[in-house]
Amino acid sequence: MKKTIFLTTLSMLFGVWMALNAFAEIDQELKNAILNATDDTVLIETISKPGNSPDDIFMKGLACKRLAVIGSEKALPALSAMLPDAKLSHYARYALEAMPGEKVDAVLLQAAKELTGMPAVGVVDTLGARKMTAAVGLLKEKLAANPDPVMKKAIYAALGYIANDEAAAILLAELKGTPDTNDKVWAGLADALLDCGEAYEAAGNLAKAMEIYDATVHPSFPVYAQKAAAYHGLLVRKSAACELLLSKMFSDKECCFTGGLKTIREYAAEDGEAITKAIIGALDKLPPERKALVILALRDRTDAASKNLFFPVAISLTKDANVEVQVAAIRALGKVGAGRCGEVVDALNTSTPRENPEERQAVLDAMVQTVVALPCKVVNEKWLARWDGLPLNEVDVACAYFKVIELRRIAAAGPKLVAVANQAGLDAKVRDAALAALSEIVTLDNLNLLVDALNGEKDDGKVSWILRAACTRLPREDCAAEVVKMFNAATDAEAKGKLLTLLKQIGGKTALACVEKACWDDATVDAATQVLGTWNTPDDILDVAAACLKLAKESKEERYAVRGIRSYIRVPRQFDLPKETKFEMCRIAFETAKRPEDKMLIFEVFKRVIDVASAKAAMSYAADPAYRDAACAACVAVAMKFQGVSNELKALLNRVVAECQDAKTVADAKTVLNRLDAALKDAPYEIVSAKYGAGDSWKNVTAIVVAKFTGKADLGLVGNNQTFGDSAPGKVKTTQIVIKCKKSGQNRTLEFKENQPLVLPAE
Amino acid sequence: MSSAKRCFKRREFLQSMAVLGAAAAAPVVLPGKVLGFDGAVAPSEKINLGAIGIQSRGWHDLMVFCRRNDVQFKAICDIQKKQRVKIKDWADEKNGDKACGAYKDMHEMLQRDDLDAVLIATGDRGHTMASITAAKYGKDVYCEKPLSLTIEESRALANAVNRYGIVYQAGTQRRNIGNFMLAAEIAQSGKLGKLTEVHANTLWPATTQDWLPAEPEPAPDDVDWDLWLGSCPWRPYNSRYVAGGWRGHFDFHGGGILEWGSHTVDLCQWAAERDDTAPVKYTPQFNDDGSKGGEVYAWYADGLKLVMRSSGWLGLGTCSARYVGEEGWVETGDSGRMMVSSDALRSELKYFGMPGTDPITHIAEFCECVKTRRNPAANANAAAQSHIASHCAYIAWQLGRTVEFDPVKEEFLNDDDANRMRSRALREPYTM
Repeated sequence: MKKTIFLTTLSMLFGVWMALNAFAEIDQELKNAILNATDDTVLIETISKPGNSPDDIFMKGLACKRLAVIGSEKALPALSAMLPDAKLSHYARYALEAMPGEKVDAVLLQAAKELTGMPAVGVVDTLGARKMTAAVGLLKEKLAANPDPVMKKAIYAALGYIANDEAAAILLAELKGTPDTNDKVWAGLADALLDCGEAYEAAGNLAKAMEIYDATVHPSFPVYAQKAAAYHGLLVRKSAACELLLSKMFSDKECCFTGGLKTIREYAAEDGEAITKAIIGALDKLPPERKALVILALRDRTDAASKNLFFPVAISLTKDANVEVQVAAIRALGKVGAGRCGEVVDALNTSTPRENPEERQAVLDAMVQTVVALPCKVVNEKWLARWDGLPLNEVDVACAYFKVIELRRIAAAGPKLVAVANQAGLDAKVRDAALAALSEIVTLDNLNLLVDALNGEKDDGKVSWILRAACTRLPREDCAAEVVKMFNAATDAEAKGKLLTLLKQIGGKTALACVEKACWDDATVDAATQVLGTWNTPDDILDVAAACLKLAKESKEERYAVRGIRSYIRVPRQFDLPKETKFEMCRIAFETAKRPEDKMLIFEVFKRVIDVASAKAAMSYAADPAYRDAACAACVAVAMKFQGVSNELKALLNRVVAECQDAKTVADAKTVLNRLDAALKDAPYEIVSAKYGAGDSWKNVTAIVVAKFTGKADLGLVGNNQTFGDSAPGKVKTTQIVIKCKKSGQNRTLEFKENQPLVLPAE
Repeated sequence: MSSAKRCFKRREFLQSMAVLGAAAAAPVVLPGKVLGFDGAVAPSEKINLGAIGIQSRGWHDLMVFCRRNDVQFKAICDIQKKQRVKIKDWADEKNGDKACGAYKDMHEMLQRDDLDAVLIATGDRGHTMASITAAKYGKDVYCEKPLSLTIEESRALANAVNRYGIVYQAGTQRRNIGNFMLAAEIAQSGKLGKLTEVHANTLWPATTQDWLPAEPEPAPDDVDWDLWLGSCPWRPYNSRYVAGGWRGHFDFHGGGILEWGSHTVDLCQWAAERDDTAPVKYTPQFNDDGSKGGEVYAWYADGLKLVMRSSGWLGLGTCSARYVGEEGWVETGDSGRMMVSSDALRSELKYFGMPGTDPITHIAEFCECVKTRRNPAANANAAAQSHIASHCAYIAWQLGRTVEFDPVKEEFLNDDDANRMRSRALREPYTM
């Protein structure tokens, strides 16, 4: 499974990588201008150019997507001109559909009148998506003109979205006509009517909603639409629909029955009593399989009146002759029996197990589910009171009994469970169930009960599981100390290995000390070093790293020294640590590692820290020819993911281009450099410096502002403490930015008040 | 939270725990003729399953479905011939006949009266459309996440599920997995004190607008490129898209916040009992050097903070979630392990030994709900809200500034740019 996630992530990254590299030949400058456009000038220019080749469509599509967010009415003529083109029409609508304003509506209405074919269908879709009531008249006209099926379906859908009185009237009138011979078109009318019904229902006009729902239960419509209409018709009628609902319970059609089940659950609480009473009254007339499902539906009714009415019925049905009904009733009591737990347990304790093994198991499972769900303390007492009569030789009954103790963590059962676990000749399943229950209730004081019970047991996985289950919830250091005692007492290497694994799972100082010590014992070094290399509790991971480093430096056996350095590098690679700590650990690892392939592993650490400091740290290893290309590759990997524009990053990438011998890395570096250059090229100024503060307390924030500057006027920053940190507590601060105009060569100082967005002048 | 409500949550959790083991193995926890006994399910009582768009993840889900003795796999729909053939051949061999239907057009498959439910795993771009279409045909739906590409799609999907009364389970898995259930239960029980922050593990948010190089379009019977694109904007064919390389492309993929937020924001919403709402304010974060970070912070109306971040986790596995209260915290992830802030909270923990990525129990719950018509844990309404929260975060991240959101109207406040990003026009003739 981890592999699946890994592959999915890899596939995502690969997809992005491919995409980033696919269009290296397109006009990157124009693309960046479109993506970063803050007004629609360049966007309108782009879509106004002639052509609909794939390259044209790419750029125009990009512009339309940007226009969808920032486009103004100025773009309407150019967008309107794209609408008739079958290849470009959708992209034009992509922008138009999102743009607000009556002038946009007017353009779309005009287009709907004039266009034909698929572009016209698309425009009608957009009229609907914009819920344009002004379009209803036009849609009516188009409908009267006997359009082709695709257009007719689109008109129905649009009227359904608009869903005003006029649209609803048109749709109802259509229903009175002859059904369309095209099933999909006719189904579209049903969907549109349901849209209208829901709109009226949402607006509180239940009478009108009911009228439309009833009309939609039309024999010519698909079953699903009739079912939906019938279901909503029931809901809007509330308790007045009791008889109708009951008829669903007995309907020959399965879909009507299942629709009724959903309705039972969703009727509003204020109608609860009458509906619940009517359904309970009908229960005995239903066939068992339906009765069981209705019981489960009644269980989910949330109003108090329903619960009170249903409780005694459910209790009586826990002894029903039919297993489906019995199981449903038992399960229902888990929810409706909360206030009367004692009665529920009494009823269940007195039920007789069934003969058929599958039926018997189903009933036992339902009992477990219900009893663990009951909230009152009396449940534990009543459950334990059953112990004396518990038939341990009936494996399924005994296991179910212990399962309840396990899940409810009934501590008082401890001594008896130990006795069971130690009882000779007991079925293994019963013993395991008892041990599992014991693992949930032992405390530090009596952890030895569990240890004793397990003493001498061959570990086929169960022992480890049970111990881990106990250690998961016991106080960490104290629990580890107990396990260390067990480790010290163990003589078998396999057992010691498993206990080391358990210590890793527990984590913490006590556990680590034991594992670290075991790394220097010939009998345990292999298992201990493996445990160290897969340690995964983050709070002690730096201590683990220190132990790994010691191993790397001092182990006399090369394989353990290698394991030590690789485990050490794993820590900065996989764990979330401050980047300075990671870089320092890389430095130490690089110095300590003896084999080049181990030294290379540090570059994987840099690749996972996406900022300029990481690229810089990677390049600090480029002086050595043996590691130059790996360092450059790491630097470029970081740069490709870095979003901002940084002169320091540019300098690093230029160094990669100059020094790296790997063609792919150099090509990637150039791609990123092109992006950085394009972002900065059009900017009319450079940022010289920036500071934030007040009075005598100023903080140099040049690096932050420069890194954020992508050539656009809006830096996307707000000048405040959140952005820069509080440089002058208690004072109203200012951000001062010095820019150098490229044209004049003059410096200019800009001031921004605290909390003001940092937007530089356009020129 | 009232003590009665806490009690109820605890009971719900325990009941789920009791079901977990059995549900993972077979549907024996449910009654027979209606609900199916292990090894004794008559063909007429099985859930007849179809599948739409099956590749790696979908294949894994399908295997889990088909290992159940109450599921009969009957039909595959895929726009790729090789996938259709491969899965039909596999099913026919398994079933010992030649009866598995193979379709290119989902409408054709969904028209079959003998299908009860469908597994949908087309990739993000097609999940909403396929789910709504299946709902219209009355089929219950298990759909891989993410379920939508936009806020509008999320709402349309939930509306369709409600309208047509189908059972819908979003394939997010973790609401049916022990360690995540226990962490949520701890958060809801009040043992952490008043919740102040919930943290969701998300990925780097960015997507690309670029296209892959054009390749000759295959014959429609081999790969129907137009059907593959569905309602998305046209672009030239490239075989890599169809092979899974669609990820990371804006037109087909919701970005890294949604990629995992569909799991983890969903977990946070669930743990904080916010299944019917979403945060009201979203602020993207920036690195110390001013570059755009991958994190977004959000706040619910009552001040509870939702942190969407990719780093700073305790290393408990992918898709981690952390719930922080005034008196303690709990964190868990796909390793199945959990960490808490104190030994007192540690006493609440339980060892599950099952990774968070396995859909066995999630699919088991779906199958039970198909039979009982109960609403599953990752139902459409809850999933739509967590997707909407993730979409809002991605919109804030794209805009590079704070946005405020009205979760009732599902509109951004005083922010035209953000509001214009709530939906995308569909390619004709597709409508929701």
